Amino acid sequence: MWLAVVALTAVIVGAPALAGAAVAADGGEPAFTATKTVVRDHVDPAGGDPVVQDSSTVTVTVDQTQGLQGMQGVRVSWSGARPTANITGNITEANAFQVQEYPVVILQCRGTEPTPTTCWTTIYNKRQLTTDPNDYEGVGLWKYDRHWQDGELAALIGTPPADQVYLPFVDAAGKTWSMDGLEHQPPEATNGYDQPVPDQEAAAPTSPDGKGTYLFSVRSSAQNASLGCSDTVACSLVVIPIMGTSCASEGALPKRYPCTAEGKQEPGSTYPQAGGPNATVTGMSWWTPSNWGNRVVVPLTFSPSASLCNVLDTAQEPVPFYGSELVGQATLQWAPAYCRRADRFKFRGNTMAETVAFRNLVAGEIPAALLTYPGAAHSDDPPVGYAPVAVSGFAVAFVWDRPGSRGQEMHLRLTPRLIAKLLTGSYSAATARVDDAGGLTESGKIWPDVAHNPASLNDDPEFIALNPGLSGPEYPGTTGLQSALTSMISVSVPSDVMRALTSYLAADPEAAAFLAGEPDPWKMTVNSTYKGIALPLDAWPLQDVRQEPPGPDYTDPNSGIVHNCTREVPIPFYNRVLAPVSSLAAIADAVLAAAPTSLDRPAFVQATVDGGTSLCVTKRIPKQIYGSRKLLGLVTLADARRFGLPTASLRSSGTGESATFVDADQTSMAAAVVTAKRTEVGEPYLIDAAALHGVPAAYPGTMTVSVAAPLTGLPPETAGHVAQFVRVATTEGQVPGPGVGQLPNGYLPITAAGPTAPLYKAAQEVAASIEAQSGAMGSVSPTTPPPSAPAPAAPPPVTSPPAPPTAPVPATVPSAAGPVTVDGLPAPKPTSAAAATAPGKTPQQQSTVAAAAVPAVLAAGVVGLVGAPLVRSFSTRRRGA
Amino acid sequence: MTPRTPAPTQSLSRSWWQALRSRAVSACLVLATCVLAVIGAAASPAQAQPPYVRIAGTGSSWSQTIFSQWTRDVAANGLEVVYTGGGSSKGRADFKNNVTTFAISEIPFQGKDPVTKEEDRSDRPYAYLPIVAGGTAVTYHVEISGKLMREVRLSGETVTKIFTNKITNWNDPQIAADNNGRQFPNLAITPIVRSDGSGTIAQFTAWMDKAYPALWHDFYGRSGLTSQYPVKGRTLAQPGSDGVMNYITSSAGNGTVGVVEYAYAQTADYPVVKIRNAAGYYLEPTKFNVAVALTKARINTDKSSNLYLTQVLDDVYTDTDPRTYPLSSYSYMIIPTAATGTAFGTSGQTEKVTSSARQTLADLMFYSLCEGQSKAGPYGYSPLPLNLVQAGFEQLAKLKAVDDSVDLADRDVTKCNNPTFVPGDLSKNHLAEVAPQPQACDKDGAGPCLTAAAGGPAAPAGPAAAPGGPAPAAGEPGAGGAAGGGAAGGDAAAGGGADGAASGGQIDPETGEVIGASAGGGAASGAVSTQLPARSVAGTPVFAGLAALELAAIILVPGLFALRARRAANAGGGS
Repeated sequence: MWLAVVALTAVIVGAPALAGAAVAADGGEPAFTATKTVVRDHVDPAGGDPVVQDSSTVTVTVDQTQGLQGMQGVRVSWSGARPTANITGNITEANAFQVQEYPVVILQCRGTEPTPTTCWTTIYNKRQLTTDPNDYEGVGLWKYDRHWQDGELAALIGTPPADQVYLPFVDAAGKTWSMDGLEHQPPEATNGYDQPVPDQEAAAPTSPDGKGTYLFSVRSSAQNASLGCSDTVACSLVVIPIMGTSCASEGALPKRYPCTAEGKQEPGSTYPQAGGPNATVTGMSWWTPSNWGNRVVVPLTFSPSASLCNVLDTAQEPVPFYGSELVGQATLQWAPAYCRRADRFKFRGNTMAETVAFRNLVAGEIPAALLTYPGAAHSDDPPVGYAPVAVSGFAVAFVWDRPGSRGQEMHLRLTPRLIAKLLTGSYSAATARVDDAGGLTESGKIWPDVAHNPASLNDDPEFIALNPGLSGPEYPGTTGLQSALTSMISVSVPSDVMRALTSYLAADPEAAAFLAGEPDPWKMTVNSTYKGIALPLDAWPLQDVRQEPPGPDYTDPNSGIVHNCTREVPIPFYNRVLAPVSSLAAIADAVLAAAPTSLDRPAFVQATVDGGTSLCVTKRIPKQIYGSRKLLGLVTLADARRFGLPTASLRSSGTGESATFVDADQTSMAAAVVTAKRTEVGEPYLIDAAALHGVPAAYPGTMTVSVAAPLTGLPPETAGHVAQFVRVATTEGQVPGPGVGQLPNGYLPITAAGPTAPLYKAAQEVAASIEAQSGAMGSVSPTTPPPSAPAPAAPPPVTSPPAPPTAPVPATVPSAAGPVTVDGLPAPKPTSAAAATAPGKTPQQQSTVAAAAVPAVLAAGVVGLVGAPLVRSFSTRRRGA
Repeated sequence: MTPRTPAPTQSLSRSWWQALRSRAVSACLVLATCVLAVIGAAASPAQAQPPYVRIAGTGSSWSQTIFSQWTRDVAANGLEVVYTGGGSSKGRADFKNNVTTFAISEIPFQGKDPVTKEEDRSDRPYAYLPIVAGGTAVTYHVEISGKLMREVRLSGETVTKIFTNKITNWNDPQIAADNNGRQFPNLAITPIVRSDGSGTIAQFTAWMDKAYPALWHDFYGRSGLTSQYPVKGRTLAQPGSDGVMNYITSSAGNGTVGVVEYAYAQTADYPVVKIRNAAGYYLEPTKFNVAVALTKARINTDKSSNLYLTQVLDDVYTDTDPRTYPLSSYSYMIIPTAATGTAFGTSGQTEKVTSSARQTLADLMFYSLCEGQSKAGPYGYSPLPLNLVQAGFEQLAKLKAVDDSVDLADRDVTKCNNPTFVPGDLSKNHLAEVAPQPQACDKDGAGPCLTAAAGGPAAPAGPAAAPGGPAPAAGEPGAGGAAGGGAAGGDAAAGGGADGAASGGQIDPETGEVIGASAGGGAASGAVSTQLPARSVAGTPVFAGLAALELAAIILVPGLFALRARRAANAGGGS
């Protein structure tokens, strides 16, 4: 047993490399910048230096490169590159590699000095080239790359020469995949119709001004084990501005097609263009030596994965907290800081509608809830205390492509009235059709109240005035029914976020007037079914239940039954368009993927089998195409920051020219939280939207999140755990960073001094009362118990965070000598064995007596074994003697 | 008689030494082996298991609420699982078409869809494993004076007649009779069903088919269940449980009634119908009532059958326990059981699931079947009894049977902190044992129970609902004070929030206290969740010492006794 102890001690857990996350959060300096001159040069027929045909000086920046997590979005931007022609809609498809001229190919590869075989593509045909052995078609000119090493090309093409060649992929385990078809790809690749891991690699276009940007979703080994990037396996982003093949000596070149040919299409043109591309300058040859030689390598490091809690560990019963999605990203990072410590407990954060969580709480079904607004209490409910543990908020995330292939828009301004218009279905697109003569069509008669309104957000003069350059008559294709944006993806279940959002709307005089029925300055009026709606609300109601005109009848040839899908599946039109979903996290996913939640009309699908009944099937509308995306969604700030989604600047005060628009950052959230108030001790600190309306610097979407727990009726051990959580969350859990136990992006740290000081103090007070379980809030100023020190002697140490944001670091530095338990006493010194468990193992509970018991028993056994015959022999001897 | 004289001392000593040596040698060998085994077992690191990989599945929206939470939970352990719902039919179809790693479905493969006549069978080898239990709820939106009616109760026959278009108005006398005379408005009933192939609908129609066959067959045209409800009369269909709730809760929803899993109605704070069981009590699908009902479920125990572990619910529907909720059922996951590369079907498909995917699936399900069950209650489901958890683990072992690199060590079902655990008998369900008895006002001919203790918009300002809350009959676990069964009809429409569950009068079996005003429905049937303190025996020095002493005694005492006996015998038998 003691050997086991020694063995485990010897297995030191690799300290999570908490590389100070060089995050450029909230608009700071990019983490990586490099400038490189990329050339396309050919062998000089006269034998001199290579002749440069084309050269660009490209500057590449990446906003975050260190301490990354899987699925995190990092923004890659560049300037000075050659503009792309024949631009496709979906830049992650293989087609984008094949038809665009001079794209910028971006991939994730393993290693800090990667070779093409360690670069990931989701499907084999992004690493495939046609050899065109007799050069009839001119698509095999990559063979004449002057940088091929001796024999390299011959080995690739083989004898007899293959028609197609493929770049193999070497996975993290060292296995080589030939990638010559769907059957020879690693498991994370697509098999043609489904895909475990969505594409991240892209052939991204450069605008005519030489600039481009792409949000790259990095993958850790959790999403892609074959690529295998993790905190111990470094990886890189490889950015290749495609310049085309640098050709070998004249004599070797084919006569039919010039190897040195430039692109055929106009820069900025969109696919498909007549004549197609010049294959020599497309993204397909990214892995040939000329293009590969022009690469920019961006080293990446990953945070240790949060999988430090062992899924097999059932020894500890979890203490579950239920409620707000606002702290979802935080609890994900916090959870492993609990399960690995003997002096803590097994923490679990669960998502649940806050009102349901509160009901469960007062019924005794759960020990603690996470919410913003206090629940509606009844006389026979136990008293509940609210301890603030996070400051975050909601945001309107968006994806919006600038017209004319000018890249993705990163800044948007929205007023409360615009949000009200999007939620109430007040835009007329696809409902109230107006014919050429200005009269109402059939559908227009059903919605006469909105027929005169602008078709959609991008047609709204209010929006255009605030966000020039995105839409309007001068930008073809940005207005009209084809590109209509008439709603914002929202949440269908009761949510504190909806309550905060509607409070923001109610506090704004313009939005309130609009909702009451007054026209805006451009004569737009609210959808009559929402007129006079009383705000704020926990859940946004679907009040426009008018049905669109019935579609055509279909007679099912099998059964002869006449169907009419709009009659049988009469989804109210606005339900179809607004189509709210049940979680905020799902909305972030939808915006990231540019996949609207709106539903198509139910369509008749004939039964494929004889005798079968045909059905009316409803589907979501298709994903939007890169280059013409526009989608807005209500999300949590932390999700937006994690996925790299741009968020809209919301109007904080003023109107018209003097209005101020604020996006969420540390300063604006601090300005908001400073106004937070509570009604009495023990109640939550709440930010009042009306009070916020007069503070120009404050971000209107700021929200606090508190732990709610009953002050009586909890078992003492559970009460201790809940109190410990509050204390840890408000100290260790407020240190910004991507490491275990730290605070991710999208939160304002709560500190003992500064704008969040009252929240910090309240949290300690309420924690003490929760622990005491005396049925009421305790005295107002309890001695603040020393919070648990960040870590025991053995790893992992908490590295100092990066330059902290404007809010100061906690003034009260914990002075406790070592960790403390929930009751403030020093924790049992974690033996080195307990602290140094291998990753994935729960710390062993040690007791010297127990440890000694087994060897003692064994020793006793040996004694008995040896002693018994010995004793017998002595006694027989005596007798015998 | 030759006394057993000992041999001469010397040879005795030698043989004694020999004996001792050989014995000692063998003893040492045994001892050494034991020690090494112990050390080895304690010190051996977990065998290297395949790394996790992202896996995807589709299927049931009935299970989606809790399954989505489980996938979020295991994300913290590095497991990435993408579950997108879409209905049980889609789940089974995607699985059989080799598009997904797993599926979740309320019903097993049917062979052939009765409505579309499409094949509903899988050539791809699979197994079922139960994942969670719950109740199929009937939610409704009936307004009186602008407020939602709550505490509506209906018999199974009434529900069937509503959904087969035989009862078409809320003021129908049969509805009033079920509610002991409570008044309902003159409002047309609009049943809402699913437009996509739904397991919820399959469970619902399976119940109608068995419990009210004449009514159902007449409406459906044949017998059997269906995932695709016929849309006739005033019935409307909506996509997904989300869609059904969106419609019912919208302002077009007045008069609507729909079928969803309990969690959806709970989250939206919408009331669910109390359905009458065979004992004549009207109940909601709380975790207790579902647990009681499912003690009557017959699980297929034939391991060689493809239907192993699927359920037959006939006895659930007719259970006479007063605490039963008839529309209770289990939900399944469908897992792939073929080795990678195995061909199946006629179109050249092969099993593509890798070792990593199997490991991810196994660990996801270990979590869900184990710790994940403890959150079933708060989310509106009911945890699985341990014998089904154990059976589920055994199904997961099939993943290892075809792929030895999958690591399934250290899975002990009794350590799962499962609220259904009854020590000594895995097939018993603790929740079913402690489920509270219904209130007297829930019985046919009495009540109805209307939450006088606030409970939001409630009873109609109408005639006193008959003999209000009678004193609970003897034998019921006490009758706490409080509103005593919702008291005389009159409504206390006042007071905010809490609604739903019969309050007042119901005693929590675990604490003996009156269950407080609680959630819309059974989110809290009031039981205080008992947090079992983690009792770690290891490390309790006293016990360890005692154990050591006892062991030593076992070793030494018999030897001493034998010695004594031998001495006595020798003394007596010797000269």
